[in-house]
Amino acid sequence: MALRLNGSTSGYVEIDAPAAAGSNTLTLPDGNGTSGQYLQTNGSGGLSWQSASNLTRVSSQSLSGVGSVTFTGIPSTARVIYLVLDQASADNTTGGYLHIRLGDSGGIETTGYLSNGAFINTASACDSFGSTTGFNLDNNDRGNKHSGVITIVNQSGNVWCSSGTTTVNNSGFMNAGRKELSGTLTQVQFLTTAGTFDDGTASLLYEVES
Amino acid sequence: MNKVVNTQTGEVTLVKWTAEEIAEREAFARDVLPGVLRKNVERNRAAAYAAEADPLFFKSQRGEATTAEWEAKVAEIKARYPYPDEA
Repeated sequence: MALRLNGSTSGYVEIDAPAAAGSNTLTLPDGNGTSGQYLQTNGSGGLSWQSASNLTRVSSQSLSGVGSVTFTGIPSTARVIYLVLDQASADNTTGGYLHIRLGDSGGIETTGYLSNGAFINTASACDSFGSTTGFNLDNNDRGNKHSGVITIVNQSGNVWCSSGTTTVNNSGFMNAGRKELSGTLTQVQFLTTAGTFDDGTASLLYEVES
Repeated sequence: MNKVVNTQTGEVTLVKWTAEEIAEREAFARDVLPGVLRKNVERNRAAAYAAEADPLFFKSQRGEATTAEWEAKVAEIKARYPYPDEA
């Protein structure tokens, strides 16, 4: 049995049931949703409008003049976090580490990281560096302008793993790490361990599990 | 100074370092930074040796340059990139 709705001048739209229909009710949402949304079932016949992407973008932040940027209020359902750096550099006199740190309601955690990074430049010079105080992007940032993405993924529970690559004008940097927080992640910090940033921006995006 | 960005409200505030953060940065400057700066000199010297001094060394082996020229280049590179405690 089908429900046929005739067009006012021609044609029709028909809603049909399967041959063996059983007893099933699908309840439409009220309203029309917004452009690009799709209908999602709750498994019990309830339908709702949902956005195709669960990605939230936090506005880009200038780094100049500060030693760190901390993104707070990240929801407990976040599972993937992207830190996007554009020409991010610390001042060229100090030589500090560039760190990414995670935090929970108790604050940013400064220990317990497993992290290693490395770089190779166009002259084939290379170096590697480890750290337990943060995901380490650079162990000697003296004006290196880093551009790239660091992805931080929830492995399970409060365990987060990261990997990323950045580039400066003549070098490629790569890094990876692991950190188990004492609680649910709520914040992410990007900092230089000495001096301040003098250029660039940092953006944060996160995806939540629906 | 720490910039704090609330991802839900978009509010941005500047917050002074805490006492713990200041202590950590002071410890880094005291205990770690000297080694970082020394390593930076080693990187610069290594790149300059490869680009400038090593060719002179091989030329001196072939009799196309003098050992003194190679040694002078090495000394010039060391002077160009002094270790922090030598500067």
